[in-house]
Amino acid sequence: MTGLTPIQHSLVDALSTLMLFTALLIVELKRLDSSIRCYVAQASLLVAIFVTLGFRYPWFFWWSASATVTKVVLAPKVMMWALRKARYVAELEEPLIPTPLSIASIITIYVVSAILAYRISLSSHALAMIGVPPLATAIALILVGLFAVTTRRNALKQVLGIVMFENGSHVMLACAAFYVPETVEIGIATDAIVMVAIMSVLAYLMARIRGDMDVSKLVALRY
Amino acid sequence: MLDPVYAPWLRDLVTYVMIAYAAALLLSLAGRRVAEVATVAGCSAALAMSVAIAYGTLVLHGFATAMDRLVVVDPVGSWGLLVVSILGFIESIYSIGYVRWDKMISERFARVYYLLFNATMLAMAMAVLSNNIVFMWVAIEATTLATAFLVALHRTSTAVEAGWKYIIICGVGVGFALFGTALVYNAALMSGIPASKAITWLGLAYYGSRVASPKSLALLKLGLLLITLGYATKAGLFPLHVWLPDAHSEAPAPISAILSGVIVKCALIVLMRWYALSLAMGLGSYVGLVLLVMGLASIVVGSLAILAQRDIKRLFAYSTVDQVGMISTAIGVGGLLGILAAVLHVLYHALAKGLAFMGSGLVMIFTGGERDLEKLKGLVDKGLRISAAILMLAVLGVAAVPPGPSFYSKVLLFFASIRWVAIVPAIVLLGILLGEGTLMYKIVTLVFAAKEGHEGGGGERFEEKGAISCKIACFIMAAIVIGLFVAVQQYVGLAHVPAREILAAHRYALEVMGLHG
Repeated sequence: MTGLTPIQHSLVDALSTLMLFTALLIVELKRLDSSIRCYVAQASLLVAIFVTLGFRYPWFFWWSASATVTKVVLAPKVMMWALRKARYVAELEEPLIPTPLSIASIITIYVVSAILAYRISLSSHALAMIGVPPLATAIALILVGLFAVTTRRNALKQVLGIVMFENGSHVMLACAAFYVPETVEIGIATDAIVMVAIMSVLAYLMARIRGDMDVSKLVALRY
Repeated sequence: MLDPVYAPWLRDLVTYVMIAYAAALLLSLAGRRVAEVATVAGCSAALAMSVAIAYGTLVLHGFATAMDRLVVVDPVGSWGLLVVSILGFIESIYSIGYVRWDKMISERFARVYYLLFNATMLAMAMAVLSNNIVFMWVAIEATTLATAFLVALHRTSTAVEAGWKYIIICGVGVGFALFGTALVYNAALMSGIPASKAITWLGLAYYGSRVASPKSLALLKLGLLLITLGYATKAGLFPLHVWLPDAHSEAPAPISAILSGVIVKCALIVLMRWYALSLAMGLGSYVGLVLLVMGLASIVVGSLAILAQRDIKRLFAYSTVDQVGMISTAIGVGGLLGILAAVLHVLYHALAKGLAFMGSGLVMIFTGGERDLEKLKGLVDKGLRISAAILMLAVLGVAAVPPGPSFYSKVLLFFASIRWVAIVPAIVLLGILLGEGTLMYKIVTLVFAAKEGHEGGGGERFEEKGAISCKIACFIMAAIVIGLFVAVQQYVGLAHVPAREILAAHRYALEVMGLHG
């Protein structure tokens, strides 16, 4: 049904599994610049998946091109700019839950996603067109992104959470060999990079006004 | 039925609307003066064409698709386009005076302001007209991004906070809608619908109940749920409304008017489109129930929160939560009465609430940025007669004052909700009596109350000098609000057309595909 060759299959499986390692590092590393570098690695893996799929579904070459420009090149540049301007090195704000518990939660998320993906593949072939591991990765990235947004207090860490969430949605679309016209694909990619840019500017403004990027201090406006 | 006829001129017109906004966007880069002129020119051209499009679809029953079927010109879309272009035109005039007055917006940021203003317009026009379900999502997401920095434009601590909450909550929320869209597309593919049809709104409506095959039903339901929750975030429905009051109170006044008047309404139009699809698929009561519950919760939260407000802009923001809740409830209870109430209120509330935020902006201009209701008490005594009149008129427009369109839509909503359990009409009444009653009371005291302990005219007095363009914009909007108040019969007659399309999307798609292939 899928039409991928065995080599392409194992390549996609391996690449998507590697994405999970980068996700763990992005969330847990304390130095923000290292986190951003791990994000570059994750985005490159995503591009590699798209290129692999492109040999079977040609429109994925478009996706790989737009992902290279926005996710591998521009988004990290913008985040690094905010980091430099704000003179930030490490995530100073304590996460809401301690590191061991956080790592355990992420691993739990991975296991749950794998089970979920397997269950889905039994009932719906359309969603598991290119195999179970990429589907598990998609679900896991979305959940880990949400996890980062809800448990980290540093604004840039939250931005990284959001971009992981977006990467997850992108893998999800790829899982179904989703066809969208090029104009729409460019729209999705533009939205993603503009979002990172605006959030980075806001994070920098936070650091300039208050001296830190602690989101939990945003409590002036209530009721 | 609607008997649509194929009208190629609509396709050209809708392309020109987009070009008008895009041209204004590009010209905004050239500097403040050029940006002001270009924005007003672009928005007026777009308004003129939108009125023609609305005439073409609502009266002549025309129909067209444009831009390689990314865009559909149908009654629902042109109704939404009217909301976008009327508010856009009036706020483009209002912005000139407001941005010049606002000292926190420097020359450089004025250019950013107009650039993002026009980007918002373009994104909103695309959102209401989009036919491709992913493009719909792209456009809604773009409206968030274009306005997020406008909310934070003052770059103060509170403005950044409001901008951050707005982009995080709406970013994640609307992200779920994309996820849901992918699920619905997959469910349609599983039911054997060709990919080119499964990705368009018309195509999904065309296949209707065939999309919901037993094999795909679970996936489809999950997808529709995520889509509803996702776009409900953007519509400001409880419990995902938390961004709304902050963003409205921190944004510059014309942007507050756009947020409350149009951005929230674009999300509602998109929700209506998805509700229409779920009706066509035979899942209308499922999506309707989600909208009903969220709508009722928003009415309760909105009308209670109105009681506690001391800031004029937050007062109007919570009133928006209340009113949006009513629109969502109206879609949820469904039927011709419910949908008609929702369609009516989407446009009229946009106009009236836009006017309310413009009035509060006028007050801020003439009092040096004061927003505290206590300190502003007695506007007439303070010499702010124009602002007072505008605020009064706006509140009369928002609340169910007979025989205006607002009254009409709420009576329809009430009667539509009676066939549900008693709690539904009870909450609707609560929203009308408590929410709108408190709003009226607060604004009437704001306008007429005499300042206690002020001896022989010793109270502060202000003069309503300058800000000509703001006043002109307010007067035009006031004229439209009064005009529709008087011509309510004709207004209700027009609103039947989009309401019927929503209720019979499957039939509409069948007729349209017959014309168009």
